[in-house]
Amino acid sequence: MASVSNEGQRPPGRTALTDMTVMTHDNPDGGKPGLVITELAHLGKINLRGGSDMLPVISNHTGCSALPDNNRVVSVGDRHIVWLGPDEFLLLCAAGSETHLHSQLTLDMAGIHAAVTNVTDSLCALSLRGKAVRRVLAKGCALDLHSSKFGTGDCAQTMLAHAAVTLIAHDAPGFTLVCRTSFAPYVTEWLMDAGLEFGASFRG
Amino acid sequence: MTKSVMTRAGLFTRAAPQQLSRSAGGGRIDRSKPVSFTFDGCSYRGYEGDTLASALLANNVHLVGRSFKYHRPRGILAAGSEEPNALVRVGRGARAEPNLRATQVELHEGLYAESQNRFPSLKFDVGAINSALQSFFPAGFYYKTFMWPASMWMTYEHVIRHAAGLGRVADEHDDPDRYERIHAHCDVLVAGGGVAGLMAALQAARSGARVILADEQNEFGGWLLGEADVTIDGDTPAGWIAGVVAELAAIDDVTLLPRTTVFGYMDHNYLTLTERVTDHMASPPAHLPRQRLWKVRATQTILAQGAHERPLVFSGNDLPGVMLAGAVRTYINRYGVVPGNRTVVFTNNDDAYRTALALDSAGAHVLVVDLRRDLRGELVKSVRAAGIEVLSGHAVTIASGTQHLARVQIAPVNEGGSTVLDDPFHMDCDLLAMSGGLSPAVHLHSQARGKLGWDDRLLCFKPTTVHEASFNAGAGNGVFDTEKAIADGLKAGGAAAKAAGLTVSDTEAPAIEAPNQSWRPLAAWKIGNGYGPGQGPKAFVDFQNDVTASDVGLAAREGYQSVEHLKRYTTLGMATDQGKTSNINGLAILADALGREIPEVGTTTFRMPYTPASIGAIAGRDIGTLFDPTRLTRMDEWHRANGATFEHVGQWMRAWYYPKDGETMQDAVNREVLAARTTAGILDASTLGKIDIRGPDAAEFLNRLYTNSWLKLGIGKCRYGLMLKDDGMVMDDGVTTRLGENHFHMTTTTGGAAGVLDWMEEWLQTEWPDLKVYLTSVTEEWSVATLSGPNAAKILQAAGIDISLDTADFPFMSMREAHIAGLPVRVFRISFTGELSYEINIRARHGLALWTHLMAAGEAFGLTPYGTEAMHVLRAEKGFIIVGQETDGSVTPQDLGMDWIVSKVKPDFIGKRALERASMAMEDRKQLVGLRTRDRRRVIPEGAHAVLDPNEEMPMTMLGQVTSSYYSPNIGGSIAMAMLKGGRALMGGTVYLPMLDGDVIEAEVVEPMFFDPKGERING
Amino acid sequence: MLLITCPHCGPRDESEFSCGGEAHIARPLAENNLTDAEFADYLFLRDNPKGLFLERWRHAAGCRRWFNMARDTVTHEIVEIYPMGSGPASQAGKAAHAASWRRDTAAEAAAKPAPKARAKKEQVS
Repeated sequence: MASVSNEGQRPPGRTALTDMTVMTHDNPDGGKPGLVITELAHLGKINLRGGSDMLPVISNHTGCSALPDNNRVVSVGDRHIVWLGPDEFLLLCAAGSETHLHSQLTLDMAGIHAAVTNVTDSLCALSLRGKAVRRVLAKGCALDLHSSKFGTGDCAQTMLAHAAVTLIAHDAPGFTLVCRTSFAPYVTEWLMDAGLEFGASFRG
Repeated sequence: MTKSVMTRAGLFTRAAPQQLSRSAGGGRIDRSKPVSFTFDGCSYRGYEGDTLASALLANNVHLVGRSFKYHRPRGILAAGSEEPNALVRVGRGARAEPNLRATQVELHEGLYAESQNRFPSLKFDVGAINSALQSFFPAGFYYKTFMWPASMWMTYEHVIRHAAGLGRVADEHDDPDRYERIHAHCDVLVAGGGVAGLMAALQAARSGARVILADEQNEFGGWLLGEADVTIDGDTPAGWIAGVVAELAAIDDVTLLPRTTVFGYMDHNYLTLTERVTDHMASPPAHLPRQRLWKVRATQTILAQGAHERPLVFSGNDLPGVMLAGAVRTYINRYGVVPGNRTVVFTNNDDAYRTALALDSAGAHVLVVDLRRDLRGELVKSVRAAGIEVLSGHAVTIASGTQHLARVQIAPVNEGGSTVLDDPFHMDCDLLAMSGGLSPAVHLHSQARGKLGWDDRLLCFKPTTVHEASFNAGAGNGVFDTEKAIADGLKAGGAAAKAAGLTVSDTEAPAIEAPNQSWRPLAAWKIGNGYGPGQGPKAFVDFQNDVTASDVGLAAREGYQSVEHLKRYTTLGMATDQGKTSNINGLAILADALGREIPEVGTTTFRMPYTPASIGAIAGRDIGTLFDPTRLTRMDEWHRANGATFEHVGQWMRAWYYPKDGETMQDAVNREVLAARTTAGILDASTLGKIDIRGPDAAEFLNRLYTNSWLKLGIGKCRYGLMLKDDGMVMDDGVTTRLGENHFHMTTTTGGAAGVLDWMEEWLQTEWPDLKVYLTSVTEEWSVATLSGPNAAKILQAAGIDISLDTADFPFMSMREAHIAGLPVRVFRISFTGELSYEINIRARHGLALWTHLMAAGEAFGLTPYGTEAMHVLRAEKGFIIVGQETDGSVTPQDLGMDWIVSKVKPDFIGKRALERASMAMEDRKQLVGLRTRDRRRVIPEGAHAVLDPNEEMPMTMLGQVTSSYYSPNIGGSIAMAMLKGGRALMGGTVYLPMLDGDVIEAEVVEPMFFDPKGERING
Repeated sequence: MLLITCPHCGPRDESEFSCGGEAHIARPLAENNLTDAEFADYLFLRDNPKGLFLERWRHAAGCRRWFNMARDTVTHEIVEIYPMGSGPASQAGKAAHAASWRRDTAAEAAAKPAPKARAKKEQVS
């Protein structure tokens, strides 16, 4: 799965990290920082609760042919369906596209028992890249992040230090991290601190 | 000698003495890298590769500490983590760390260390008077002496606390160093990197396992690093080890952790390790943590921590200069230090003969005193062939000297060494190398609840069955022989890999050449000294806790027959040492005193940590701002820019009040409270919990969740609800709005948000899975500004809201979707102040924009931001409760006078049956009332207790407590709410609130409603 | 720290879970003829056995789903994990369930709808 990008239009408004200044810890060994944090500002996020009868509607609007298996992500283009639980998914889409998508899904699911909720502003998405990403995450996350155990297209809801996060692994040595917006400054500060020995940067 | 060493040693301290005990060559120290260090104010020199202990010994410094109880002079006993005596304080100022074993402290340039447990100095210590009075300090001394009278305990405790404890913590308490934690997973964790551990790790890694190999020393190899008489595949031990380590290091999925102690073994193969990352560096780089705590979840573990040599228990065995034989050999071979010239090797087994040979080769004079009578075997032959005298059937019965071993008394003894058979003779000596056999380091195995069995031949406890997915290997498994230990490691590595689901690699064990020796010691637990039982100089069992053989005997006679009781009574095997050198000797002596066999007596439970772990590493980065997340609302920037003070509400920071220049808190709150009732106030209510509820059974679910009825709530209407636990006690409250036929928007208290969502999920998943309802948290999706006051509607109009605000069009307790400044909003006409009030919800990205827009629109009306304090006052004026303030988990709706919200007709709701219990109707339950102070200016402190008779003798009959209390500028006096026993019946009466200073506040019991009792202001 | 296999998310550290205490405590219907003492069996009394214990757990930091777990309180062995609403499948789990004093309580009997009511409910659903 390609990484989550955020190429959509950027609607006005602020994010929880708007005021966070750009930060850098140099890589002590020289070269690129081992961790590069970028906010995927306003990335569209729609929470889906429901069963397999949601599939035709979701399929219609995302192009995916199946809902993701447990702990997996299904991606078609810039739309990603992230498994959160047996009846819960997080749909990621380009910034600005969530309002329309939310209305469409809500309308089309009127006949079935499902909940489609726009949580774009509830959650913050960060792109984490760099050689040291797994090692940095391991400082606060008890999951086995070895690439053989948590590889491309895998996802998990877990704890990173004291914050609940959703981690999504991509094929590049990168992750998308999703957390509650009110935890985003803490998570960013924690990641920058944990990345000290490898070099780390937050680009906003 | 380098220039820098000259500078440090020569200019600033007195010249360092020569390393008199350093051998001419050999060892794993780097003689081209001299290092200077300070111990107890004196400057010394050692080499890179030294430990503090080896460097001190090289400088002929043996006296390194005073013992815990008797302040006896103590020297270096061992060469590893089992060292009980040489506890030192390393570093200065905030970096000082006590109780480090000098045998584990790696030397680096500028190392600063001090001895412990002595005053004023190591050589002259006033506490040593305890030693002279030693007959007054028997086992259980503290228990016996400080028992009575009980009233004196506080005094005793002060004295004991001063005298007790090992070492002294850092003088400054802000640790300047960085510590980290990290999680790790592996197929096979190998604890211990000696021969067995290395072989096990190699085999597992070759089989494709993800391996973590941890060893507490600076380099892998264990005992082998101290052996000069072994070859492996024709190579030196060091050569073979280097090859294995290089192979392991080249494998991606192998993590090598030297300087790392596996100190805890918890359930389901969860182990904790401390890695000392920079402790060995003179100037550590800033980006590295000083120590790192590893939390490892291993599929399989291999415990290969080796074995500890046991001391022999004879009189004077604790003198500096008395060392373990294996340690002596390690100092000679690994560190190039010969710790004595006239030496006695005292043993009950073959292994010490290797030490005799090493001493002899190093040029020392050696006498071997062996408890055994029938001496056979190659090692004995080799020793005799080297011209070393061997006395069989003899023992060192007494060692003596003032601050260092000077003389030993040697005598022929009986089979077990307990009885002296003939006159002794004396011999001058400066080193005694003793060996009482080996004890496998079963600590981790035992922590993990593995079982131990007594080996009658090797005289030790060794692992039998495991409780976790683990294997034991090598000396820790009772396999002491190098060749067999390697084979054991190979076997364990394969078995662990197989158990982890891998195909085992075809690895052959290397060929070993080592002395052919027996590993069977003679059982000789307590060496006689020619005096009567319990007489003569002390013979120590536990050096660290100053427990003697007589203490163990006394405890047994006093009835402490269980080994666990013995441990507590005598402190045997406690403290940082965890009985590494003392455990078996203590058990054996106890067994003897009780006339039982050792296995019958059993062992104490080994507890973590194996060696002390620093609190810093356990805390990791959970310090400062990373200790706990701080959550900010999306309007926070405005509050901060406008001088708000904040209060913590759970993890949230909420604006508390907004003081203007010169205002006190009371001034500011008064102004904010008045504004909300005279014009309008605005509150950031974003932190309220919000839950989106959807599904055909949503209304039915709410009907069961709340005490009141929800089925007929109209779309667009809001309703207040009270949630109970199933015991009938109030747990949360809030307003819920019907957005559609099957769609509701619930609000909860700020603190209750997460708990209420979990609570609802629990009922849906576990009790009512048939209900079709989905819940989604939207707490942070919406920022909320609450406009409250007579001018609230005018301000909203000025802000450009695009809907009619007429009460007819937009009545109280309803919701409308609208736009403000072109941005979509949801407006809820609900009120927590009793004033005309709008809760405006907007997508969080626009939260700050909405707030600033409303502030601008309200400027002409004197719109005043108010914080949580004013919010509390405003709601208290109206008698509205706050869950968690008026309630404490023991309060029913009836107690709050809220019977009106409890449905009489619903067949069920959570808490319904519990409310019908007879005890819920008792008249003396605490009930919510208002309090009106007679002195209207007097504000009762919250938490004050009310009584009916202020003159009653203490303890007074207490009615209950004040839950909320404020000055109300709108009333012009103090208001309070209280939960009082039988409170409703006290209405109109007087209660008294005695204060700590003897003052008594008098208050009338009134209805908890102080302002606008008829609710006439709700429509502005 | 226990390693608990969430039925949905796989093996996770115990710290990601919250324990909901004793499982299989049926909730009496609110309209019942239980005495307060009998009702207290449901409301207040919880078992604390040495040995196998049937518990409710929730993957709080993950999928937030509840499940049942048969855990030995002495050895910490997790004998089985099974879904909410079903009973244990293992012999040991079944025995622990059957042996509970709770099986004989009036509170548990009052949790079951009368046969007639149950039939009616099934028809509706």
